[in-house]
Amino acid sequence: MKLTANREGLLTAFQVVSSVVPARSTKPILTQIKLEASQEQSVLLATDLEMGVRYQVSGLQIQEPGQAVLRTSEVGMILRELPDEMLEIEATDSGITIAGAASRFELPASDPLQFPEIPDFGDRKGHRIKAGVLATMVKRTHFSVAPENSRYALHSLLIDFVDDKMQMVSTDGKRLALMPGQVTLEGERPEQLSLVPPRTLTLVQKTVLDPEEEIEIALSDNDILLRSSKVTVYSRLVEGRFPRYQDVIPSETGVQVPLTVGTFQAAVRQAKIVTTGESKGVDFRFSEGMLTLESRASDVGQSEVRLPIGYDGEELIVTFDPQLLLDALRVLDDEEEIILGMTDAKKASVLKTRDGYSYVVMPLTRER
Amino acid sequence: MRTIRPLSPDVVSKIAAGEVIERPGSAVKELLENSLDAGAGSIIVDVAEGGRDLVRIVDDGHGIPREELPLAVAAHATSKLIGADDLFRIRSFGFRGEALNAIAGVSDFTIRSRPEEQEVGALLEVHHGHPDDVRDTACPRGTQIEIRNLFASVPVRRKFLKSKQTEFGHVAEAMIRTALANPDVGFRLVHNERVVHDRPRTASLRETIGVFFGDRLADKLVPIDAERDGIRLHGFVGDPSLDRPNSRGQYLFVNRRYIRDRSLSHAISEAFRGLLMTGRYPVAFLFFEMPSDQVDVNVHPTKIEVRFENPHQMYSHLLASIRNEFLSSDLTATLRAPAPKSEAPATSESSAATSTDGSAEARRSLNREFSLSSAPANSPSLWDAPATPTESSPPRESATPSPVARRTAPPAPSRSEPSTWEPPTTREPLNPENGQSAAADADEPSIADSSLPAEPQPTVETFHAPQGDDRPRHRALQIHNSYIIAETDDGMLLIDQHALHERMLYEEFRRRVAEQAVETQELLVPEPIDVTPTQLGLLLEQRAVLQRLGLRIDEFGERCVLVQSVPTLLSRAKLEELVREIAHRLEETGRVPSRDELLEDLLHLAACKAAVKAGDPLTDEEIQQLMRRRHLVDDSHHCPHGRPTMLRFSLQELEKQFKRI
Repeated sequence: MKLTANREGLLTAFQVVSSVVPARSTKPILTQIKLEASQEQSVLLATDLEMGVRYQVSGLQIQEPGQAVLRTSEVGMILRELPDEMLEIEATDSGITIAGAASRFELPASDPLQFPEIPDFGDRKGHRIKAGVLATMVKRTHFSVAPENSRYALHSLLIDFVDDKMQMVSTDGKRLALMPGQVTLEGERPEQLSLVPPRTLTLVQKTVLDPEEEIEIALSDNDILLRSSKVTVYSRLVEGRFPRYQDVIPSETGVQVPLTVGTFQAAVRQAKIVTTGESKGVDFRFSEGMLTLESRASDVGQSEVRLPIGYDGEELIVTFDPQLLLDALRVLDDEEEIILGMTDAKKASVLKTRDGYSYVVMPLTRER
Repeated sequence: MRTIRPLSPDVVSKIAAGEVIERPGSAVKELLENSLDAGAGSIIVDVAEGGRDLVRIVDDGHGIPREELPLAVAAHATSKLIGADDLFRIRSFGFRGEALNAIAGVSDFTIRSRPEEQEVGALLEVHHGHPDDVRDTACPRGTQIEIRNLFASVPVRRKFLKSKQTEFGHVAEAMIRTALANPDVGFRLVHNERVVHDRPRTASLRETIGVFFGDRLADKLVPIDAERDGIRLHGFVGDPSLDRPNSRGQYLFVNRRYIRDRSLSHAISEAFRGLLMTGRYPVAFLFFEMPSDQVDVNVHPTKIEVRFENPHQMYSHLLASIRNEFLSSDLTATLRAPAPKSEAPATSESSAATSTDGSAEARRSLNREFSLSSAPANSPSLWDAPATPTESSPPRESATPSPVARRTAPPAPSRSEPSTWEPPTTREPLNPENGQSAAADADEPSIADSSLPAEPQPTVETFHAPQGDDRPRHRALQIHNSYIIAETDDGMLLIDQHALHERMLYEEFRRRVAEQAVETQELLVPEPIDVTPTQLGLLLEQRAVLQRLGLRIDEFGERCVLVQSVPTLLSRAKLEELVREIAHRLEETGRVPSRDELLEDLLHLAACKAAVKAGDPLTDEEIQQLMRRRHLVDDSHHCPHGRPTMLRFSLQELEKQFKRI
């Protein structure tokens, strides 16, 4: 393999791909990145066997097609450190040479045939969704994914198809976020629910700049493939049971309070000041025309924050962990109108937007 | 049908002997008490083969007149009691008139005695209840008793004697108890012609403890001295690092009489609650002095159990007195830099040198002082200089009624006290009303204290003064993701982040449970956790206790529980791990623990699980938060496991190390 590469183009691709490379592996070749170069297309590949990525590199002039396995940290640094616009890369059985105008590196070569196959679309067809829509879905659900190594099945984003929409759902047990998005179905509407590792979706989303660009999603029983113009990501699905999210979202709430994201968020942030990691609760008192947030932490002090609201029902006090609300408010626009629906101090409350976003939060209680 | 007959005196004495004398150790106890009642100034206990072959007690007391010797071994004959009313004014140890008779009934018994005024001693031998005639003998003033072939005539009982080591252990224990209670009498214990313990009559209590339990233990005792309602309590309790796997390190005395009392033992454990790991017991040497009409010692043949007129008062007195010492003492371990070598021989001088400035006296009384040599938990590699035990004289010790060894004994290098610490008197003592009801959990003084508004305390160490956020922030730095180095006004602290955080969580959690204000996050999606069917049963049984902690669980099939809510305090803990650990703990406990015990146990467990671990990187904010809230926890100097949470280095010590001063 022999080629001349635009350094910056290759560096960008290299950085995206290297996010998949495992730091340690029992198969050392997995800690490296594979470059496949041909006249038609050139791709960088990386995989940890759970997930794989293929990234189309542009700006390569191929003298001799072929493939090579590149050491992630050394090549990454070479691409970053060299000032040259163009670099020459040559791979033989004995080694890999990377050369700029004033520098030259010779690195040992591994056998590219040892690098595992990464599944590709082949002739599979995917449902199509706009990158902007997907990005919003990820943004509004990603934060309530359960942390890794806690509840296994909950460390995922659930993808479900309802009518002509795709829904993305996440929960960590305390709250649940659901965001629907318009999708163009290709063939049958998938019946099954798919649990997708969150990093799969964030990786795809990072590589797309144009929100109008369409992204293809192909699902099978145990894997997912996503494709944008630049990148193809493969991942195994998370196995396990995701709770029936439809049952968790309260269908009816006795109390509905209209709020504006910006002002509500500001009030909650103020109320949060006088809370601690151990004493989180803020009492939300909804009374006629007024929302009063009261917080008290034994060693920090207490606070009272008031916000006029359009509510004229009976007084209701619900205690929330303000951070749980802020997590959701932060991913919404300040001007957005939301409805906060509640039943009582013990049952789940739900925050809804006009575009179909639902965010369910469990309150805090005091055990007696 | 058999007829009813009175038992022969021989049989009666054997039965009685069974009650009072069950082993050589109990014979020793009885004889020691006789010697003490005879005003002995020194007593020698000499045994062979654990006492099975020989027990010999030699005293220099006032002796028994020749004509009274036969009476001494007769049943229910005593010089110590005349009428029944005297029973309630007992100031002597023995009074039932049983001991000698009982022993003589089951052994080859020889008594030699000579009162001062009698020129020739008298000797009486009794062979398993059959006395010979009294003979003349040469003998020094006092009484000697020899017991050979104990229980030879009662084979059943002899068979039940344990190994000679075990029996000797009981003999030694009997003597230790007696010696502790009688500081003004010399005691020597000889086993198979080897001197095992020798306690001179001039020894202080601390020295006595050193003789019997080693100097290392004796050096780490906290003096207690408190008087309430005419009852004086004094003695020592061990620093939490001296914990034992059982309560046998606890010696309780009432009017110089060793006693056992469940309620008082419980009071000691209560006082140490939170400072020791579960299953560990503190060491204590405590003496009650009280009017003899407030305690009935005639409830048990061996007089080991007594009945108090007002047991509740005793309980709260004991609990409050110990706790008061702990609350008012700063247990923060101070790493004493080794004194320069040249000063080593004059250790007392070097300690005097540290108190040249006015505050040093007070600070020293606040600080627990550690020398490196006696504190293996500290990292010795911090200092390359060889550790030299540093002596310090706690100022209050001279005021305690039992003067400390070092003052009376000649200074010997091997008996320096490397780690003495002394509680200060600066803090307001626990108020008695609080102590009265201390049996109730809600009245934990620590809880009450932490909820009080911040008040300036006259401590030298500003870091401890609860000034909240007004306190200028000192710099703090995390090292190795495990320890925090924090600057203080007069030096620095090295803090174990896990231990401190755990302690803080524990205190906070315990306070909230007591106030019934455990903040709980309801779960939208209950978390299923697999357990064994046994564990499931145990967990469900203790549901109410778990709920008080904010953990609400439900049954979910036969091998699974569903967690419905989690306390926010434990948000760092992994729920699954926590619940499994709790289930495991319940299984281990085996019996059904009391609610309070279980709650306490689970609080420890939960705090440990939820605390930051060694190796967890902390943000500056988190470090500041730890440091800021440190003062809230009044005994945060030990984590719930009883390990120290921090080491203190004073600027002065550092400067000394760098030879600036």
